[in-house]
Amino acid sequence: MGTDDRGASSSSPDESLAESFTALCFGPGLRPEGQRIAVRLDEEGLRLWPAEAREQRVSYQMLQVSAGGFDHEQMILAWSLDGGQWSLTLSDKPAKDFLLAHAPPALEPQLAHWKKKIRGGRHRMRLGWTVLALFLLAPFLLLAVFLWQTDRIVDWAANRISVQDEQKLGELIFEQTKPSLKLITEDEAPRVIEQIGGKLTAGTAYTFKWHVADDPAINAFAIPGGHVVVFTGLIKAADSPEEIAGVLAHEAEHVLQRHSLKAMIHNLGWRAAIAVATGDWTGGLAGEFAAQMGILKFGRDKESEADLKGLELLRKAQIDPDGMVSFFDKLAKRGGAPIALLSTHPASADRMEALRAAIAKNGSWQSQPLPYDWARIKTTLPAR
Amino acid sequence: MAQMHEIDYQIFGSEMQYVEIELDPQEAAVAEAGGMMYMDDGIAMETVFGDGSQQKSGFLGSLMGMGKRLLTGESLFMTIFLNQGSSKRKVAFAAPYPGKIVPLHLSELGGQIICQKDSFLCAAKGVSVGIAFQKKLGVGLFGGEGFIMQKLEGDGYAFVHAGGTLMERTLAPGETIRVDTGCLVALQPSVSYDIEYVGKIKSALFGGEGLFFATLRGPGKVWLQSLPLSRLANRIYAAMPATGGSREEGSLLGGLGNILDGDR
Repeated sequence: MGTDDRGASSSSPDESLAESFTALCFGPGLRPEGQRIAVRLDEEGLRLWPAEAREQRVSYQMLQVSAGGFDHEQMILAWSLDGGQWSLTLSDKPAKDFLLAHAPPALEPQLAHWKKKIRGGRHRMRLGWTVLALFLLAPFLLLAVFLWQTDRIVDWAANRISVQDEQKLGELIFEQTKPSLKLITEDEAPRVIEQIGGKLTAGTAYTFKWHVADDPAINAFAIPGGHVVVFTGLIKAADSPEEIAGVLAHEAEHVLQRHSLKAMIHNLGWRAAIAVATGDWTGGLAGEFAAQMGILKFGRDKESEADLKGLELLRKAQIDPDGMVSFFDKLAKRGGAPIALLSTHPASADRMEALRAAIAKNGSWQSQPLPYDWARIKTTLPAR
Repeated sequence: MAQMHEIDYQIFGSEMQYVEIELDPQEAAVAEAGGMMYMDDGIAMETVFGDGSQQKSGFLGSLMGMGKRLLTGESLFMTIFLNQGSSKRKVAFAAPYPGKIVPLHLSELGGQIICQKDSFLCAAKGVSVGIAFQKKLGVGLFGGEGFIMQKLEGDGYAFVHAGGTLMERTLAPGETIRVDTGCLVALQPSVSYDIEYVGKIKSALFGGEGLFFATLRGPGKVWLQSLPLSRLANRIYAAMPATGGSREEGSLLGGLGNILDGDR
């Protein structure tokens, strides 16, 4: 068929074809699927089928250059002749390069325009795909940023919640947990706890509310906004009011440092980020697991922070810090069943060490013993 | 045409066609795995990774090819049917759903054809089956089936399959037609392919057409199918008893008719 050779045939031994290229030609009388023909550039125009009987000349003035084809990057030279539409399609790079390199002056502006259009199209394409890729990857980027900057994001979010709102939220949570707690209101223990707590937190931005719940577990917990609940088990395990004061100072710091609030934001943020990334809004197992892992990681350094800051509260209230250290120590040494307070507040050796170091560094302060008969108070608690 | 295998073929059937290919000794055809209908004794079947057109491409090359084939929704492997006998043998490939088989002689068509993914049926060995991306993002997002297409390259025969009735049309330079994106089967690479927004929400909602049309601008040949498989599948799915469709064919007797027919 002789139509297999493509592109510029500059290597052709035929001297007359030295400045020719091949292109697919469409037009009346030609094969409908196009015919690959040789084209030569001349002074005034194109010469189709150069040096053949059917040679045809097309003036550059008649030509219109446009970009097209399936990939929108082919060069199409179109013209009309005697009412028929003709076109040459240059699809391969050698042919296009040849025409660009040997551009006749009459065609130069059009070719420059074609080049610009192709380049613009490529830019747009690249931009479009980048935007699309970013859009598709956005959830994962979000997740990555959240992983990387968790603490900052959580702090930023927590700073946007006012103390009033936090207290409202805490109120809500407390109302919800209340039915599962057997609160003691009418006895000496709640009053003493409230006095010690009040003494510790005097002058802070929060209005603390201290509660005692009848529960044998050795535990205490704080709710955002200032509700602190102490279990009777904890009171019974303590040997002096100073030991209780240490725990209260620690819990009060959880509130003052907004640890519980931040933990909640953290948890919510994790869930949201994972839900967006996986597209699973029902909170699948993966989300559950990841959220839990997030909380655990949150715990340790916050506990140490609460310890050290709690120490400050004790100092301000002129309460002996030894109670705090000895109580955690005592609980850690106590064998038997796992102690709830330690499982949520892991009493690692490091933590105790840090606490002792802080006391040694700051020096002890003048402390006044708390005026309560602890042994008697313990007898007022409901017997177990 | 040295490396291409020149094959003779005959297409049988009217609406559910199959193509019978006659292989000279040592000639081979490649087909999408699972398309074979029958073959003569003496034809060896070999499953290859990719389309069997390239000799060696290394590990990375084959990995790329794998990704491309996954993108076009094809099976990872193709089957080569090689005539090992000393006389002519026949192998036949059947169309997977009602429609027409289109024989495309690639060298007469400029060496390259872009076709709808999944429409490739079989070809002479040496025809490479590649992937053709639409580079325009609009086409990618709204072009439906037209975004990722197959590129058949070579100079032998390739057979693609069209659903329903086939329409072959030659577009003069600058001539434009608009088609439903699903109805396009194949086009010459000289044809510009674009997506046009119809812009009438009413026609999109109530007219049953999509919001976007494919615009094909000549010069070149295009092949259209009257019934894309997805349309047929939609109707069949809607009529399936399992999805709440009704089985009877409009009998006034309704359910009673089914009992009388003995369908139940």
